[in-house]
Amino acid sequence: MKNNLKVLRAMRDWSQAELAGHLDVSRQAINAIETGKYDPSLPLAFKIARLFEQNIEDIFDDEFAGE
Amino acid sequence: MPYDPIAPTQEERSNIYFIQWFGLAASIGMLIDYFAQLSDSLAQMLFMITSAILMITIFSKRFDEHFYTLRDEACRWVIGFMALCMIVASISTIGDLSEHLGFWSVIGEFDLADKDSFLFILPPQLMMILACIIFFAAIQIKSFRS
Repeated sequence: MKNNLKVLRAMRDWSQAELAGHLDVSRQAINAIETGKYDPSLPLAFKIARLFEQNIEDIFDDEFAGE
Repeated sequence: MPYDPIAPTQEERSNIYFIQWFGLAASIGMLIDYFAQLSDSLAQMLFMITSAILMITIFSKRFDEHFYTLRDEACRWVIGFMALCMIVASISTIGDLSEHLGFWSVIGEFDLADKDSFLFILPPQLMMILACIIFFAAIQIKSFRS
Protein backbone atom coordinates (compact mmCIF):
# COMPACT_ATOMS: atom_id res chain seq x y z
CA MET A 1 0.00 0.00 0.00
CA LYS A 2 1.38 3.39 -0.94
CA ASN A 3 1.63 6.11 1.67
CA ASN A 4 3.02 9.58 2.17
CA LEU A 5 4.52 8.91 5.58
CA LYS A 6 7.96 9.94 4.38
CA VAL A 7 6.65 13.34 3.25
CA LEU A 8 4.79 13.91 6.50
CA ARG A 9 7.86 12.94 8.47
CA ALA A 10 10.04 15.28 6.42
CA MET A 11 7.59 18.14 7.00
CA ARG A 12 8.16 17.76 10.72
CA ASP A 13 11.89 17.26 10.22
CA TRP A 14 11.84 13.97 12.07
CA SER A 15 14.20 11.09 11.52
CA GLN A 16 12.81 7.57 11.18
CA ALA A 17 14.03 6.84 14.70
CA GLU A 18 12.24 9.89 16.10
CA LEU A 19 8.98 8.95 14.39
CA ALA A 20 9.41 5.38 15.63
CA GLY A 21 9.81 6.75 19.16
CA HIS A 22 6.52 8.66 18.85
CA LEU A 23 4.71 5.56 17.60
CA ASP A 24 6.29 3.02 19.98
CA VAL A 25 7.68 0.92 17.14
CA SER A 26 11.18 0.24 15.81
CA ARG A 27 13.02 2.30 13.20
CA GLN A 28 12.94 -0.76 10.94
CA ALA A 29 9.14 -0.81 11.10
CA ILE A 30 8.96 2.82 9.96
CA ASN A 31 11.38 2.08 7.13
CA ALA A 32 9.32 -0.94 6.06
CA ILE A 33 6.10 1.11 6.09
CA GLU A 34 7.64 4.00 4.14
CA THR A 35 9.05 1.71 1.46
CA GLY A 36 5.75 -0.14 1.16
CA LYS A 37 7.19 -3.43 2.35
CA TYR A 38 4.86 -3.60 5.30
CA ASP A 39 1.28 -2.48 5.77
CA PRO A 40 0.65 -1.36 9.36
CA SER A 41 -2.15 -2.80 11.45
CA LEU A 42 -5.31 -0.75 11.89
CA PRO A 43 -4.35 0.38 15.45
CA LEU A 44 -0.95 1.57 14.21
CA ALA A 45 -2.52 3.26 11.19
CA PHE A 46 -4.89 5.14 13.53
CA LYS A 47 -1.94 6.08 15.73
CA ILE A 48 -0.07 7.47 12.71
CA ALA A 49 -3.16 9.38 11.60
CA ARG A 50 -3.65 10.88 15.06
CA LEU A 51 0.01 11.85 15.32
CA PHE A 52 -0.10 13.75 12.03
CA GLU A 53 -3.68 14.98 12.65
CA GLN A 54 -4.94 13.58 9.37
CA ASN A 55 -7.39 10.95 8.18
CA ILE A 56 -6.05 7.47 7.50
CA GLU A 57 -7.07 7.64 3.84
CA ASP A 58 -5.11 10.89 3.47
CA ILE A 59 -1.93 9.08 4.53
CA PHE A 60 -2.45 5.63 3.05
CA ASP A 61 -3.49 5.18 -0.55
CA ASP A 62 -5.50 2.09 -1.34
CA GLU A 63 -4.36 1.28 -4.88
CA PHE A 64 -7.51 -0.73 -5.50
CA ALA A 65 -9.91 2.06 -4.54
CA GLY A 66 -12.27 2.93 -7.37
CA GLU A 67 -11.90 -0.39 -9.21
CA MET B 1 -2.64 4.72 27.87
CA PRO B 2 -1.19 3.99 31.37
CA TYR B 3 2.47 4.80 31.99
CA ASP B 4 4.71 1.75 31.67
CA PRO B 5 8.02 2.31 33.51
CA ILE B 6 9.71 -0.60 31.74
CA ALA B 7 8.32 0.12 28.28
CA PRO B 8 10.99 -0.61 25.63
CA THR B 9 12.55 2.34 23.88
CA GLN B 10 12.87 2.64 20.12
CA GLU B 11 16.52 1.52 20.38
CA GLU B 12 15.57 -1.57 22.37
CA ARG B 13 12.92 -2.47 19.80
CA SER B 14 15.44 -2.03 16.99
CA ASN B 15 18.06 -4.18 18.70
CA ILE B 16 16.09 -7.37 18.15
CA TYR B 17 16.60 -6.98 14.38
CA PHE B 18 20.37 -6.89 14.85
CA ILE B 19 20.31 -9.80 17.29
CA GLN B 20 18.80 -11.98 14.55
CA TRP B 21 22.05 -11.64 12.59
CA PHE B 22 23.93 -13.12 15.56
CA GLY B 23 21.40 -15.95 15.62
CA LEU B 24 21.99 -16.67 11.93
CA ALA B 25 25.78 -16.54 12.37
CA ALA B 26 25.64 -18.84 15.42
CA SER B 27 23.39 -21.29 13.56
CA ILE B 28 25.74 -21.43 10.59
CA GLY B 29 28.60 -21.88 13.06
CA MET B 30 26.74 -24.85 14.55
CA LEU B 31 26.36 -26.38 11.08
CA ILE B 32 30.06 -25.95 10.34
CA ASP B 33 30.94 -27.44 13.71
CA TYR B 34 28.55 -30.35 13.11
CA PHE B 35 30.41 -31.43 9.99
CA ALA B 36 33.93 -30.31 10.91
CA GLN B 37 33.76 -31.37 14.59
CA LEU B 38 35.87 -28.38 15.58
CA SER B 39 35.34 -28.18 19.32
CA ASP B 40 32.80 -29.34 21.88
CA SER B 41 33.16 -26.11 23.85
CA LEU B 42 32.51 -24.04 20.74
CA ALA B 43 29.46 -26.14 19.88
CA GLN B 44 28.07 -25.71 23.40
CA MET B 45 28.62 -21.97 23.28
CA LEU B 46 26.91 -21.66 19.87
CA PHE B 47 23.99 -23.78 21.07
CA MET B 48 23.57 -21.54 24.13
CA ILE B 49 23.71 -18.35 22.06
CA THR B 50 21.24 -19.65 19.49
CA SER B 51 18.81 -21.02 22.05
CA ALA B 52 18.91 -17.77 24.06
CA ILE B 53 18.17 -15.70 20.95
CA LEU B 54 15.36 -18.07 19.96
CA MET B 55 13.81 -17.87 23.43
CA ILE B 56 13.92 -14.07 23.40
CA THR B 57 12.57 -13.94 19.85
CA ILE B 58 9.69 -16.31 20.49
CA PHE B 59 8.58 -15.44 24.02
CA SER B 60 9.37 -11.77 24.57
CA LYS B 61 6.55 -9.29 23.94
CA ARG B 62 8.72 -6.19 23.90
CA PHE B 63 8.98 -5.80 20.12
CA ASP B 64 6.77 -4.23 17.48
CA GLU B 65 4.17 -5.62 15.12
CA HIS B 66 6.50 -5.55 12.11
CA PHE B 67 8.91 -7.88 13.84
CA TYR B 68 6.06 -10.18 14.89
CA THR B 69 5.08 -10.43 11.22
CA LEU B 70 8.63 -11.43 10.29
CA ARG B 71 8.77 -13.92 13.15
CA ASP B 72 5.45 -15.51 12.14
CA GLU B 73 6.70 -15.88 8.56
CA ALA B 74 9.92 -17.50 9.83
CA CYS B 75 7.87 -19.97 11.90
CA ARG B 76 5.92 -20.86 8.73
CA TRP B 77 9.19 -21.59 6.92
CA VAL B 78 10.38 -23.88 9.72
CA ILE B 79 7.08 -25.76 9.81
CA GLY B 80 7.26 -26.08 6.02
CA PHE B 81 10.77 -27.52 6.34
CA MET B 82 9.55 -30.07 8.90
CA ALA B 83 6.66 -31.04 6.64
CA LEU B 84 9.07 -31.47 3.74
CA CYS B 85 11.31 -33.73 5.84
CA MET B 86 8.27 -35.81 6.82
CA ILE B 87 7.18 -36.10 3.18
CA VAL B 88 10.67 -37.30 2.18
CA ALA B 89 10.69 -39.75 5.08
CA SER B 90 7.28 -41.13 4.17
CA ILE B 91 8.13 -41.46 0.47
CA SER B 92 11.33 -43.30 1.37
CA THR B 93 9.28 -46.01 3.13
CA ILE B 94 6.72 -46.53 0.35
CA GLY B 95 8.76 -49.43 -1.04
CA ASP B 96 8.97 -51.09 2.37
CA LEU B 97 5.27 -50.55 2.98
CA SER B 98 4.28 -52.13 -0.34
CA GLU B 99 6.56 -55.07 0.46
CA HIS B 100 4.86 -55.48 3.84
CA LEU B 101 1.45 -55.29 2.19
CA GLY B 102 2.52 -57.95 -0.31
CA PHE B 103 3.60 -60.31 2.49
CA TRP B 104 0.41 -59.54 4.38
CA SER B 105 -1.76 -60.40 1.38
CA VAL B 106 0.02 -63.77 1.01
CA ILE B 107 0.90 -64.77 4.57
CA GLY B 108 -1.58 -62.71 6.58
CA GLU B 109 1.01 -61.15 8.87
CA PHE B 110 1.88 -57.50 8.99
CA ASP B 111 5.07 -56.72 10.88
CA LEU B 112 5.27 -52.99 11.53
CA ALA B 113 8.31 -53.44 13.74
CA ASP B 114 10.53 -54.58 10.91
CA LYS B 115 14.02 -53.36 11.77
CA ASP B 116 15.15 -53.53 8.17
CA SER B 117 12.80 -50.79 7.05
CA PHE B 118 14.63 -47.83 5.63
CA LEU B 119 13.33 -44.53 6.90
CA PHE B 120 15.17 -41.52 5.56
CA ILE B 121 15.25 -39.09 8.45
CA LEU B 122 18.02 -36.58 9.08
CA PRO B 123 19.85 -36.90 12.40
CA PRO B 124 17.92 -34.91 15.06
CA GLN B 125 20.82 -32.57 15.79
CA LEU B 126 21.26 -31.73 12.12
CA MET B 127 17.52 -31.16 11.71
CA MET B 128 17.57 -28.83 14.71
CA ILE B 129 20.48 -26.85 13.28
CA LEU B 130 18.89 -26.61 9.82
CA ALA B 131 15.61 -25.46 11.38
CA CYS B 132 17.49 -22.69 13.24
CA ILE B 133 19.25 -21.58 10.06
CA ILE B 134 15.96 -21.54 8.15
CA PHE B 135 14.28 -19.53 10.93
CA PHE B 136 16.93 -16.81 11.09
CA ALA B 137 17.46 -16.74 7.33
CA ALA B 138 13.71 -16.39 6.77
CA ILE B 139 13.59 -13.31 9.00
CA GLN B 140 16.40 -11.66 7.02
CA ILE B 141 15.00 -12.64 3.62
CA LYS B 142 11.50 -11.49 4.56
CA SER B 143 12.75 -8.18 5.93
CA PHE B 144 14.54 -7.44 2.66
CA ARG B 145 11.91 -8.76 0.27
CA SER B 146 8.47 -8.21 1.82
